[in-house]
Formats: sequence, structure tokens, C-alpha cells
Amino acid sequence: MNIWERILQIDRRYIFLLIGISGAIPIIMSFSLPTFVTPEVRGVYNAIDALPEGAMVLVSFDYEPSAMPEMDPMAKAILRHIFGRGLKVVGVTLIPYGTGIGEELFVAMEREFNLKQGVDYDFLGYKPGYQAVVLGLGQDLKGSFPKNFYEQDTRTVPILKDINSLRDFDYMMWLHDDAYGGYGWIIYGRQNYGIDIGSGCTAILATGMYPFLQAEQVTGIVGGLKGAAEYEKLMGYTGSARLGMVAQSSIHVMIIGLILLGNIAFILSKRKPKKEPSG
Amino acid sequence: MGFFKRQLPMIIVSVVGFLMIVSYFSPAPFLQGMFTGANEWVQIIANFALVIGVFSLMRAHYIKIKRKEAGYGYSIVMYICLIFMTFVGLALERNIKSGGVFMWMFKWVNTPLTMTTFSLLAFYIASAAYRAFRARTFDATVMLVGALILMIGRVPLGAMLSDFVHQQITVTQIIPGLPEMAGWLLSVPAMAARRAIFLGLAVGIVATSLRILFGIERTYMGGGD
Repeated sequence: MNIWERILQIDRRYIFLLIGISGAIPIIMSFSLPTFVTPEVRGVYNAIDALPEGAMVLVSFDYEPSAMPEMDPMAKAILRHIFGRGLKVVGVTLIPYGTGIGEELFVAMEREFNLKQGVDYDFLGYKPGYQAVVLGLGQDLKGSFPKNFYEQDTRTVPILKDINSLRDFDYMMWLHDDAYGGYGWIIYGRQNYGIDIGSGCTAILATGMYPFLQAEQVTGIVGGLKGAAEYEKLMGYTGSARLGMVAQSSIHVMIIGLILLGNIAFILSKRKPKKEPSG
Repeated sequence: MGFFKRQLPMIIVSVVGFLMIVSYFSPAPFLQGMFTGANEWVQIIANFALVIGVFSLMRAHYIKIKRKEAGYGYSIVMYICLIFMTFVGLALERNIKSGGVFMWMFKWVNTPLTMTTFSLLAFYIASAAYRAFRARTFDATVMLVGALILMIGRVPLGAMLSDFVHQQITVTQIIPGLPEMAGWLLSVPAMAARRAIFLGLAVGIVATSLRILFGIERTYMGGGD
């Protein structure tokens, strides 16, 4: 077995070690890299920025804790933008995990912006049924959610006084790590009730959102940690997304290096050794 | 008996299905009211489905424990967690809020565990990429080049690298930068493929729905015919 064949059969634990080191070093050394804002992210930012003070924004927290390292920095940056501009937020979720995620984010924002639940924001919580929930919110919000996450009667919550349907919202931010309910927010929320939607999703899902962006069914896409880093740049602060992007860049370079090494070894190991001259 | 088992469910499905289609497109108050009512039913049934899901999970793990199958210890852990969280959620904290036991468990137990499991993917993906991304054929080479451009073009380093090359070698400015190449890959070939999948799915859903409404597709009733 020559050296190239050995490289091809390298123990995967060495690869794990290299990935671990390439992710840890930039975080420990606190490197920084410039962030370039893409039109997709600017689409969401501009849509929120154009809303008048006091406008109503619906935020759906449709992601699981496994996606939190990628999604939470994005959710925080977007919520900071929304609350910083004096907009009102109503939260909801189509998945059970979304209740814990939404509640934690609202509590963090409440402290940061001195908000009042029921006046500046409200959280409807979770209801099973995916598309049925979207349709229910479109037809009769208070009928669909008679009580909010805090067990309060939604008919008595001040922020919901003039909100009866999805049509009463000025914008919607869909934070998601999957297409829960087969893109119900777009199919029914956008198409039936005309709500403008911004998508904030995991990087792996971003590719699937491009057809909706081109069809103008979403105003923009904030995709993964990269999108979150771009949003942080637009907001003018360096948060965990921009710091995390350095580690992600380093890991990407390491994977590219490993793939190239694997291909060089693959090509060279196939080469037949030159025949010894006979005689 | 055959009528109640076969024909009646089919008639109900067909009548309700066609009425739902008509009410979706019609602004008539009677049909809109029916559509709202049906939607409420769906949400109520979805709640029951959750309960059935929990019981199904408990049953599957109970069988595993009873038979002492491999890894049955994890099933015991599942039971302990399920009972504990249900007790906290229903008995201790009627109103789940930040700062309580339920949210503490969610934040400091559930979240770190799921995040850790998910983050392990990075290591396995790196290992799999090292072994799978080989330029064996033309198709594999195209995929390899596309993956490399996307990986470097989607991080700040790609933009820095492109800028550096463009500044150092002026003639390369006619070639788009790595982020632009990655953006093109996402918004043209990847999107075209995605759109084709979406359209295929939509046509498939329409076809299957019509088959169910016309009684051609009957597998949802069981029996396999």
C-alpha cells in the first residue's frame, strides 16, 4: 500500500480531529472576517424597515432546538430590528418545540427593550394541524386561539384588539428549519390572505426557498448562520452569527482541503507504476 | 355490512372532498361557514392524533422493555422523562412560563442534548464528503466542482479570496467572484431542479387526491385494494 492509498483509507477519527481543531481555533483566537450583505437578506431587512411605527408583525417560530445555534442569532437580530423600530409582534408556532423557543426569545427581548406582554407583543403558542392552523388564523384568529400562551383570553389582550385575521398583519416573519405543513404559510397565508412574508431558515433549507423568492411569494431569505451574520451587519452589531461565521469559514476550508486531498490521492493511487525495463 | 365498511366511507370522502374544493374557491357564506367548520374539525382531530402518537410511543417502548430487547434501558429513560415532563407540565405548572421547571428542563437539558446530537453531523458530513466527493465520472466531477464553489462562495473567505485575485491579476476581473458563482448556482440550476420537484409533487398530490375523491384509490381504508 503506497502513501496515496493510505491517505484514501485514513481513519475517520483524524478527520473528526481536524474538523474539531479548525472549528475551535478561530473561536479561541477571536479572528474576524468581513461580512458581505446579499440581496436576499436585504429583502427582509428593507421590508421590515419600510413598515410604519406600530405596524403589526406576525412571527412564527417553527424551528427545533437542534437548529438553535443557526436560528437563534437570526431570530434575535430580526426581533431586535422589529422592536427597535417600535413595531408590535404576535408570535405563534406550528410545532410543539416552538413554544419554548418563542417564550425564551420574547423574555430576552422584553428585558432588552423594556416591553410589555399584551401591549408590545403577545405569544399565541402552539396548536397542531399545520395548514389547518394557518387557515384558522386566516379565517378567525381569536376563534382559532381562544387563549394565548399565557392562558389569557385573546379577546381581552390589548395588542390583539384590532387583529382578527392574518389579513390584519402588515408583515410576517417565518423562522423555520423545515417546510412544516408543506409551506402552508406561503400557500395559504400569502396566497389566500395576502400577507407579505420574509423567510428566515436554516442554510440547508435556503435552496428550497429560492423559487418562492423569484415568484415574489417571499420578500427575502435570511439563510442560515451566514444570513444571520449579514442581518447583524445591517443592524450594526457583531453577535454570535458573525463570530460563528469565522469558525464556519475555517471548517469549510478544511473540508475543501480534505476533498482536494482525497481527489489527488484518488488520481495518483490509480496510476500504474512504470514497467521495469526487461533484460 | 360491506356497504358500511366500503361504500359509505367512500361516499363521505367524495362528498366532503368535493364540497371542500368548491368552498375553497367560492365566496358563498354557506360554503365559507362549512369550510371554517371543517377546518376546526381538522384542528381538533390533530389534537387527538397527538394523544394517539404518545400512546403509540409508550406502547412501542413498553414492548421493548417487556421483551428486554437490545437497548431497552433507553426505553426506561424515555418513560421516566415522559412521566416527569408530563407531571411538571400538568400538575406542577399549569401555566408554563420562563423561569419555571418545565422551561428550565427545556433550556438546560433538552436544548443542549438535541443541539449536541445535531452538531455531530458536521463531523460525519466532513468524513462522508472526504470519501464520497471523488471525480470518478463527468457527472461526479460537475457535482464536485459545484460543491466546492458553494462551500467557499458562501463564506466570507470566498469573497475575500475573489477580491484578492481580482486586485492582483486584473485580467481575472472578467470572471465573476466566488460569491456570485455560488449565488448563480443557487438561483439558477438549483432553483430549476427545486421547482421541477415542487411541480412534480403538486401534480402528484392533485392526481392522488382525485383518485381518492373518485374512489379509485382506496388504500386509506385499509385492506390494500
